[in-house]
Amino acid sequence: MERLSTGIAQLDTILGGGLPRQSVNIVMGLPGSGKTILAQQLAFANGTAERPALYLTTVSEPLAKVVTYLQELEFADVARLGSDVRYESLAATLRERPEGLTDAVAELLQEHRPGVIIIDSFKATMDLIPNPARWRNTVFDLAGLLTAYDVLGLWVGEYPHEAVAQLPEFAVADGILEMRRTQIGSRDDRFLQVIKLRGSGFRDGEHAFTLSRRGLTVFPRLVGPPAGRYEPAMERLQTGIDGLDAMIESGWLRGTSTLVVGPSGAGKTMLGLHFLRHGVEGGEPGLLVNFQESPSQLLRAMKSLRWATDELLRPTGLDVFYTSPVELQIDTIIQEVMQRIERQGVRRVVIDALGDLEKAAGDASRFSDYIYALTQELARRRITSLLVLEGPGTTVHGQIRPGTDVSYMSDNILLLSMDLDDDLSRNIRIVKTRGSAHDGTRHRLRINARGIVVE
Amino acid sequence: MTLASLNRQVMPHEPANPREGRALILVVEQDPQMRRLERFFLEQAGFGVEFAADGREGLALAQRLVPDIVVAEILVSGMDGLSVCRALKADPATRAIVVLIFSILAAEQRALAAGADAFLRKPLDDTRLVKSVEALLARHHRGREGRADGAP
Repeated sequence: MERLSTGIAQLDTILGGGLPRQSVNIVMGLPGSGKTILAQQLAFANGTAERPALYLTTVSEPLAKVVTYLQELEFADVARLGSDVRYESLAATLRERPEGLTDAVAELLQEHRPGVIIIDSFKATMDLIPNPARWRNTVFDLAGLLTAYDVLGLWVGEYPHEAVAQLPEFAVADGILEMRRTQIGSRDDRFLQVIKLRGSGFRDGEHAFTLSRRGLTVFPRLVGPPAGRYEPAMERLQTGIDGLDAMIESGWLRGTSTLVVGPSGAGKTMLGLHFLRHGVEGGEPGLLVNFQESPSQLLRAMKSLRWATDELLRPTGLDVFYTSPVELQIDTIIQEVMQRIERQGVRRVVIDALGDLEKAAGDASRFSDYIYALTQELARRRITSLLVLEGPGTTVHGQIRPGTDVSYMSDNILLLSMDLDDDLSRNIRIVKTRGSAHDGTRHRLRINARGIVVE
Repeated sequence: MTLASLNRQVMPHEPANPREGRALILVVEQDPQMRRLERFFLEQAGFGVEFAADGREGLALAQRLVPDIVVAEILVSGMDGLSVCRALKADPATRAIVVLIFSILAAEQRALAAGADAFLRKPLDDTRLVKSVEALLARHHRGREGRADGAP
């Protein structure tokens, strides 16, 4: 099936390569969700002088307004207007005789011979034909016209989600794309979802996107491996903390994920840094995803341990991705993580901490989905990871904290605890390992001038 | 012979109609939106266009009008487009009519096996349709001239 690009690379990926060239599609969503920008990107990506993109406005927005705002968008080359991309208004026709829609579109189609035809807003047209039977006929005729001609049709409308099951246009459409906007805390998040795409696979679920002058930037949702489990490689690697490595046969299995749980101050971040440093020393590039400490704070901490930071932070060594979880969506963060992993050939990853990602996810089930997909993807790539999880406050008998349970998704769990008796003492124990014999007893963890020592 | 190679044989400004007056096209098609587009683009290209909405009417009209070319969809009621084509090609009175099967179905082999001169898949791309019709008529015309000159 031949496809046309939407002009948005990541959306094309979600659609399995773009929209089928000969199809009728609906882009739906409430006002302000980004529908018109998406439609305009499609228009500019496909319009040529021979087979232009024809953009038909109806009675929701004056043509002049659409074109005025269009010029604010970087992809909209005004020099191409009138040749590659042509705007026409159906307002006069529709006000006079709404049922004349198909005739009006046919005349424009014969005149312009477009490769893409967009009607925005299609729903506003429906509002002019309140009789359901007459609206059904109009939709049927128009779909027939667009199917007869070699053209991609896109109907844009401010439909609520429930409309999909009720209105005839959704039954005739080959593809349906829904755009949503939600408030999570103080943040405004946007998602799009493919509801239907005839004759084609697509990536399901909600995909985050952002809007800017460049148009839409879409972050496809991570998907778990297609089938089967990925068995960890039977290769052992070390954390660089001798006492800890001795607790679990001769080290951790490559490609596994380890949850490091404990209260603030128990040594979780430092344990992660040891793990990454040991990898870099052995020629394995590492990535620290860090929401807690700024790069300068981190550098100071490593320097105080007299680690060779220049050597450690060299381009093929340790990459630090520091970001504020308040400003970013989880999709954006995870996409950046995967890009850095690919770019640097990363073999070891530390995420510090999961709680921040949970905040960025907004809700618990979304968070679980992401962590599951992430750990599966890392396992598939044979990347060994440590996921730091902030436990409850100072505790004698540390418990894995209630709330979103991600413990079942990790291969190993390390529990760090602190006793505040006369002296502060730190402890570590292994509570779970997959595929390894381990010492489950409590060991003393000390932090000295050079880092962590486990006794 | 493929349509692409046919198209290459036609000079860009070669007249659409080798005979005096307009060439007549009979379109066998029942979809109203498709008929609307076929009428517009074929008339715009200078052809005379007649329509039949089903296969039986198409065959009867072809026998009566003897058009230069029949453009037929396979999926029409009464008698399918391929049967119309076979009937036209079996009758010495209509054998010379060029038949273009223009269908929603991917049926090139079946069309050629039924004796069609060419096959074109829908949807309608006006450039391809008009060029195909022009190329078929030009070839047909050359064939006639060849016979008139006594060439093989």
